[in-house]
Amino acid sequence: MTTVKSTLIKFQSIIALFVMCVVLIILSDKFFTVENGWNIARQISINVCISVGMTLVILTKGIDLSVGSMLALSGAVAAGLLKYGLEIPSMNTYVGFTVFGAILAGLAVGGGLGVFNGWMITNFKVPSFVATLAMLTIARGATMLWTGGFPITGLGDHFAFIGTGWFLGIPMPVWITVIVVILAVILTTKTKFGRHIYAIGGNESAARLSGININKVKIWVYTIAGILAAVGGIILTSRLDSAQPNAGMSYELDAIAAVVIGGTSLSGGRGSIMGTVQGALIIGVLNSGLVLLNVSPFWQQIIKGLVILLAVILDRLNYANED
Amino acid sequence: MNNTIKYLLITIIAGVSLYNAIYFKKLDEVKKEASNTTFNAKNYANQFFKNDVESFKAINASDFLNHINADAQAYAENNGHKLGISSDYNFIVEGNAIVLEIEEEYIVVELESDQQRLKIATDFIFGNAIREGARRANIGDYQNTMDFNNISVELNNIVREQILPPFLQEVKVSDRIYFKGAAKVNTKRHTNENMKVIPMLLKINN
Repeated sequence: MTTVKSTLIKFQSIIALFVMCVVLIILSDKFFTVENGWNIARQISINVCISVGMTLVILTKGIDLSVGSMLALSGAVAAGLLKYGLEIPSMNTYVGFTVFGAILAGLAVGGGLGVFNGWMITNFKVPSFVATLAMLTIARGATMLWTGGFPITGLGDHFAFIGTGWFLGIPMPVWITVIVVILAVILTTKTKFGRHIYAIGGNESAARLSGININKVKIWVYTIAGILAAVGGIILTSRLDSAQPNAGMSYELDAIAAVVIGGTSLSGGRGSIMGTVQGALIIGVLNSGLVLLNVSPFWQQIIKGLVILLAVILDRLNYANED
Repeated sequence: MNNTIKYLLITIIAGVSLYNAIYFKKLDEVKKEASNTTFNAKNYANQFFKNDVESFKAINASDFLNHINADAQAYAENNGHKLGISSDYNFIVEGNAIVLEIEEEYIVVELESDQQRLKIATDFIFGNAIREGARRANIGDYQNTMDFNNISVELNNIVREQILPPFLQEVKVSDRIYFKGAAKVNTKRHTNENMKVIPMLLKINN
């Protein structure tokens, strides 16, 4: 009986996903099509990128509320530099950015903001909730300043390929997401750094006493979360061929939802990247299904909220003794 | 030794990345190139006001109000212009009228032809009514939506800075005026009482 229960607990996300797919296949003839499959994959790719970073943060018992704003700023910086470059009037010099350069700059912005988050949390002992909440508004304001409140559009075919192109019959955002997931799985399961992340989330004091440089690991974790938010920002900007100043609003909530539904404990130390991918898939399938079933957007939000609540309740029941 | 190799590799990778990431040009050359190819919304708006507004074929304001009052949807579909799937239709209307009231944000006029009343906006000049009413620009023709949006911004700026100030300095209650301007009608919720015209041309006929 215990074995059956533990197996059910272990595969609860996959079982939920499977049940949801079966129900949607019965209710909608448009759900189980190749086109819709690619649509869901493309739509969740951005959330998966952000959620992977969020998983690392939550595994260390932290939270990052700024990923949506960092996504917007990174995408806007990449788009702005690609389109307008940098002008240095005092030297009569124009610095142009190639697509590669613009992407690097976007990633650097995400990484830089992540470092700042980590630095605030570790050096000044600001709670991660507060530090990243502050970054949420700072990065959003910076995005508005950078874009002047207007979208930056017309970024060219090469840049558009990242978000809309296909390679070997698979959409580019899916390739990028798969690479991100593989790297994150290796990082969390096969490296010392990954073990340190779990150790810090499980018991920070014990981790410190065992010689782990907590501050260094945490700063790296927030930096990775920032870089992954930037990856999401670049995919989104490329898909839309436009950097929107209000892009990524409330994406942090979808990311947290994916992590929680995927079985990662908000108390830290327990969870997995693949669980998060399953969580993002559940949200993606749920979104797609509700749209195909013509459910009102208001109801969609309520249903999504209930699913998150259910996931957390199940998690609490299953791991009541541990937490 | 290991560290030396590590830093050397990092330097080489950073150098190669930077080499492929950025390029340099002379700023004045780039600006010159850009001015030849960039769409200039200000020039576009100036040309429109200079060459086209006076001769633009507008709808008689009395006819417009009567038709809108009778069947706004049908009239708008045949005579108005809208952007995308919006229910806001735009028209260019004209008429001779008598000034009844001068308020901070608008003036109220009475049409000479049938004594219907209209408001002419004098303060908050915004939106796309002139661009859409005049059917001057199609969003599909602009690769950059900012260029498309800037047309409205510049058209509104001309109204705010060149059309209204001289008119407002002279106009008095009971003056006879000629106006031509853009009117926006939402076919789902409209009333003639709130109809406001964004002026493109204003003349005092006393």
